Amino acid sequence: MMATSPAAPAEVEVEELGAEPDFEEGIETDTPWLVIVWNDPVNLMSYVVFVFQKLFGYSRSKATKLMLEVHHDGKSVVASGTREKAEGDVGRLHAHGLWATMERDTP
Amino acid sequence: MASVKKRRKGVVLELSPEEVALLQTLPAQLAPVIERGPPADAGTDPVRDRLFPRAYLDPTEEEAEHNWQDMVHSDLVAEKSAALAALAETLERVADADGDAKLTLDRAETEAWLSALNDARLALGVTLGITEEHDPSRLDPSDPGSQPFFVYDWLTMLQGTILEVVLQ
Repeated sequence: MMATSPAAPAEVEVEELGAEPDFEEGIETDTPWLVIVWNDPVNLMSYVVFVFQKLFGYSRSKATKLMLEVHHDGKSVVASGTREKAEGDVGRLHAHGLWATMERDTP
Repeated sequence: MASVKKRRKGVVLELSPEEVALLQTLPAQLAPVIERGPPADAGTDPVRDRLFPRAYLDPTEEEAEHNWQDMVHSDLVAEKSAALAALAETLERVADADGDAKLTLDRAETEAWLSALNDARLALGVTLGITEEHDPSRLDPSDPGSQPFFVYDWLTMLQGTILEVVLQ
């Protein structure tokens, strides 16, 4: 990701990121599967933000934070839960063209 | 060059006849790619592998991967095919346009366009070997081999411009 559009570079709201609660908040501690989105050279940064908001109902700033993790770190944990939930999330991400996998959380 | 605006009734696209003609070719090109089955030898169809990646990287989860593919693959194909069909149907509305076409997309149609454009870019991106270093400004317009890269870059521009309006 992530290409930026030649005519219209994706805008990111960096200034809001500091105010965002930590991603781990609100996630059950006993949920063993992580949904991971990987960096790829085609998906636009703005598209990844759009998909995170659409699929997970995340705020713009949280979706942007996760997208930037994917962009800078190569991957990001975008959701977690039971195996069944993770399988559903991965399927929905694939339906939208994001490169997502799931793996068991290692304590 | 395509223009994209946000109006109360939806996203309004203005497209030249050439742009409409290019978009009209996408469903027929992509549908066979989306519908084809797995290759006899794993790893020999990188476009299909990108459109339908594995869920599990862990080789010890092969059975879960297999079950998951059985469960979701036909739904993924149906969803991607529906987006292509929506692209084709909305373009039908301006098929008889004289000169530039003006097309209004509602929310569902806009999302279908974003999905279809993204799948087209993913397929083309794998075929063309697009990397992070891809730089549209370095293409040589006089080189016939650059043509598919210009198509890719135009699709990128269109999708990016629609997203800019959607995310406003």
